[in-house]
Amino acid sequence: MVTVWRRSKAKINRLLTNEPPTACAKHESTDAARPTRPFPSPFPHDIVEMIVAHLTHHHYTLKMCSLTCRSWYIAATRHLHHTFTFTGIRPEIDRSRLEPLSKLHELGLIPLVKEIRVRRGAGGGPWFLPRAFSPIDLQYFSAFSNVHTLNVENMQIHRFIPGIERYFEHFSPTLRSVALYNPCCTPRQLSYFLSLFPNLDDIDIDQTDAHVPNPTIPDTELVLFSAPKLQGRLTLRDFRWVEPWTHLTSSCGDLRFRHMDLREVGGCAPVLLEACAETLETLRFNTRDGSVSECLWVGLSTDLS
Amino acid sequence: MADPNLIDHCNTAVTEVFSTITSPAFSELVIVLAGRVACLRHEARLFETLRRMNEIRPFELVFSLEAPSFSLLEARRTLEDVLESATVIGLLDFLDSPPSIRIARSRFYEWDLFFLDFF
Repeated sequence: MVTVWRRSKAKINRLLTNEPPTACAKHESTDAARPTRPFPSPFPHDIVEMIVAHLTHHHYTLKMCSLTCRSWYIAATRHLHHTFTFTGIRPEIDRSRLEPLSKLHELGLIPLVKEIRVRRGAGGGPWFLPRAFSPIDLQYFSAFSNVHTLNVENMQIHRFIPGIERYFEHFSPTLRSVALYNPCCTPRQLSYFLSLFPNLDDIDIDQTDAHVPNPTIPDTELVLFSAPKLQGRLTLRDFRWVEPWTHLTSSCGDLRFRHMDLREVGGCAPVLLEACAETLETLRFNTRDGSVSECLWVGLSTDLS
Repeated sequence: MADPNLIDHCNTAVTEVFSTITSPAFSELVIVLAGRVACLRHEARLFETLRRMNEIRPFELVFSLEAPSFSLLEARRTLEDVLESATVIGLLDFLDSPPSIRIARSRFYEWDLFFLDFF
């Protein structure tokens, strides 16, 4: 077997260097004893990077690539760990859902994570709560230093107040995008949470099945942390609260979103259009079954909603 | 909502809101159609609203189709027919360039999610 491998290697080396076949080649039985040139060096690192960059959405293929050799592992690993998803495996135990953090920390992968997703988990109920964080979990969670996107389902913002900054302030230098699906909070608590991130550009809120709880502390005590940039895209689905935007506008000046994507936003649209009047580039307006013109009328005008 | 006075009021209200946009970079109005496309055939008043909005601030009109993948082609064909008819009878004369159509498979449709999970 070893002989076959050496013969093949010798042939490949000859082909690559365009060498004419030597006398030894005619007597391949002697090749085994002859020292061969080393196998051609692996791909240059930038080529490997290019190949891997084409595979960023093929998680399985990336995993396979990372197993080939060290240079492929290095190229693939930052894509493999780009997004980290917390999801429930044992719905009856809250703390188990943050367990992967210790493994991630142990392997030194926390700085590679750019996006955090929190899913509702098998039970469907909220689990991403302050009580789910043990001191060590919170220490690991605070080590996410490069996260630019936070995507949370059923986030119980009101349960993190007061002291929400303890859990999320470390994202403030890098976080650019927040997506919240059915957040639980009051309008002021929402703007309070968003103001934690001064570099925030994109907001995506979907309140399709939201239930608004009673506030746990008086909203008047909430003074915004900072004035987020808000220069990117605003996506709202079934979100009818005007107050978060007026609260942000009154505290931080005009909003500067360049793209808006709205569906069933009630009286929000006029307020938002006015607040972003000087920067808006694209307005996406989502319609549902029924008359498109009526959707447009009701969606864009407070009088008609 | 067939009362012409009410329709006029609606158009005025919408154009008033739209007129608050002062951004020189504003260039695109995208209408995302997630429901039945064929109902656009009876939407002459939509084109009237769009005409009024375009007078205030010219824009490029885009129709974006979001539907389950298995019905996207048919929806596109219907939309093309509707827009062609609207162009023929002059409902889209106010636009500098013909409206464009974009296709996006909706991530919210259960059948698509089912197929994704299944395969």
